[in-house]
Amino acid sequence: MEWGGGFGARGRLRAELITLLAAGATDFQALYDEAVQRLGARSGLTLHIACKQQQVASWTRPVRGSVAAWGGLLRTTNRALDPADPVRMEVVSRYGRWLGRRGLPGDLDIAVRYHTKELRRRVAMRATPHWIGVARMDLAWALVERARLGRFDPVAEPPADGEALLLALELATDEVTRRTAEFGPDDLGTWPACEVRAAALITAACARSAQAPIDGDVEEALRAIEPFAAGRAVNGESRLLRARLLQAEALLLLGHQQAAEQVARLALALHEARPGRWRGGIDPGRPWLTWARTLAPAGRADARAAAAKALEARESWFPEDSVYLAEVHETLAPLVAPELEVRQG
Amino acid sequence: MMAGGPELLRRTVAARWWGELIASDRRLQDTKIGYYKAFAKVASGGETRDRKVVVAAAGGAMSTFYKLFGPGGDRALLSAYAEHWGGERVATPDPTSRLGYETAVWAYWGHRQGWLSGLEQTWPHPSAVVNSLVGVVADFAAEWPHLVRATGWAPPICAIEDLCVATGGMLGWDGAAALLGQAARRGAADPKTPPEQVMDALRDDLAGLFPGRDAVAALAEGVDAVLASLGEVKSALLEAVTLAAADPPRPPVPVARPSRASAA
Repeated sequence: MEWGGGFGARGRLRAELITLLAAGATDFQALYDEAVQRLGARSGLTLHIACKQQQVASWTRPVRGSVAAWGGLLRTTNRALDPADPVRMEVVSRYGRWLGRRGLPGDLDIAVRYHTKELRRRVAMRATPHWIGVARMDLAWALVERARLGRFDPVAEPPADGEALLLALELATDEVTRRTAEFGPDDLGTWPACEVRAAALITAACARSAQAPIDGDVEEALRAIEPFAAGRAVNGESRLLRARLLQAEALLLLGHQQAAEQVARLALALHEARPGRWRGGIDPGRPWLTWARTLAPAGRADARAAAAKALEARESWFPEDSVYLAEVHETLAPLVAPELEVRQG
Repeated sequence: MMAGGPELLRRTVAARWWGELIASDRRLQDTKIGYYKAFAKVASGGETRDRKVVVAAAGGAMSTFYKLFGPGGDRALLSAYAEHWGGERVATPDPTSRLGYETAVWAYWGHRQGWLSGLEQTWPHPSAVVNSLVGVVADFAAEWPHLVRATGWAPPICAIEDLCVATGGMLGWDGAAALLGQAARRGAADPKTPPEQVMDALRDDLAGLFPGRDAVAALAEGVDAVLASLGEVKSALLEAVTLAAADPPRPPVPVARPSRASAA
């Protein structure tokens, strides 16, 4: 009997993909092959399956490989699909994110320009609020990362008096408002927007910590994180590990070293329960780096060991001259310096 | 591993009904499909309550329509449900609504096959079984928004049954219908929103269903609680030490004890 008026085959393939993703499966090759056979290599659904395959594969391979793979898929989707097609918009977004995450000289600037252009394009073509919101958050993240790590990039544009962070904050706040109205303030769907907003506040506070009081911004960041860093879902939902890490950073900025250490240690333990992948979208070195930072004021040996683990983890994932390796070196340097002095002395 | 098991899902009321229907004579199948297509087409134009319009769109006769979708209709899905689940669980609406229920199941069947295929490959945790079903129903609703609206924003009845079976009865019929109804409504409201978004939005509603969650998560909560307690103890000790340093205890004052002699 014919299913679903001829739409049954597509519905079956999509439902199978949704189920495999929810179950944590990592190999969709058989499903992809079937979609190619039934619908063709350039159909939206076939490319949607390819997109999800790349999404999962990117969690378990070096970043440079992910950028290349997403670049290839981007070229295919640009040729095959309409600019407003959700699959094409998803691939466009994900390629830009991995480009920024690579962190080679110039990548942070390229990511900002790329996401700026994409946001303008989506607004101009009147994409749905969801996809405009995704582009808004992509740009906010790119701005935050450039503000945070631009000093390690020899060719990055110099920061313009915090203007970029103000824009990031504005974009994130708009998206928090939109998602809160749609899903509610503590919904998982609202979390990505709250996350980038908190990250913007924390980065802004770090940038001016030497000149001005920062408690207000950091406390605001903590309030944005709070609904997601507690409650029954937080330990089981890997995306919320990021809430713990941001919470630890904020607590550390406020001088609550012991509380920060406790939060960072738990995030690390949860992350390491399934090592070897970007669990919850977190690069495998970041939980170690956050823990190292929380330990640094109190115990130098532990902090050094944690920072060394962060470096080891990131070296497996990032190119040699990535800003993400430079970030770890910056934390590690003062922890090993006294030892060198002793040796030299 | 899921509570009900895929083998149980292959033997649901809807699965048996579908099996009997495809084993029946071809003419009956074709006639039924003709009505399903007619209902879906009329629904997309916003008209469904008028049975004359549906019958005309199917190019059939009113008598055939009643024979198939009237009370006790030939191979009627709702009759199979009423027989198995009891009349109080399953509404017995007018013939047009009965056709709507069957049309939704017919339209959804490909999604159901895909969901079962995914489950058979992965045998996931029950929470993933339920979560994936939420996503699948949302995806179906995004593909058939007019049909979902025409059936009162209800999920396909077979998906409600699947959810009851998959949770091993932890979720009753009404609870399953309410949860999947939300998924259907959200999916149909904005068909361009990815189903993952609907799954996220309803995840909190599912969290309470599975007290025996991921072992790592449970362990983490335990560790968290212990660390929090230790933190409190540590703070109390630090406070005591600080106080003691600021105000050292005085040497004990000798207490004059009455001598044995005076006591006597």
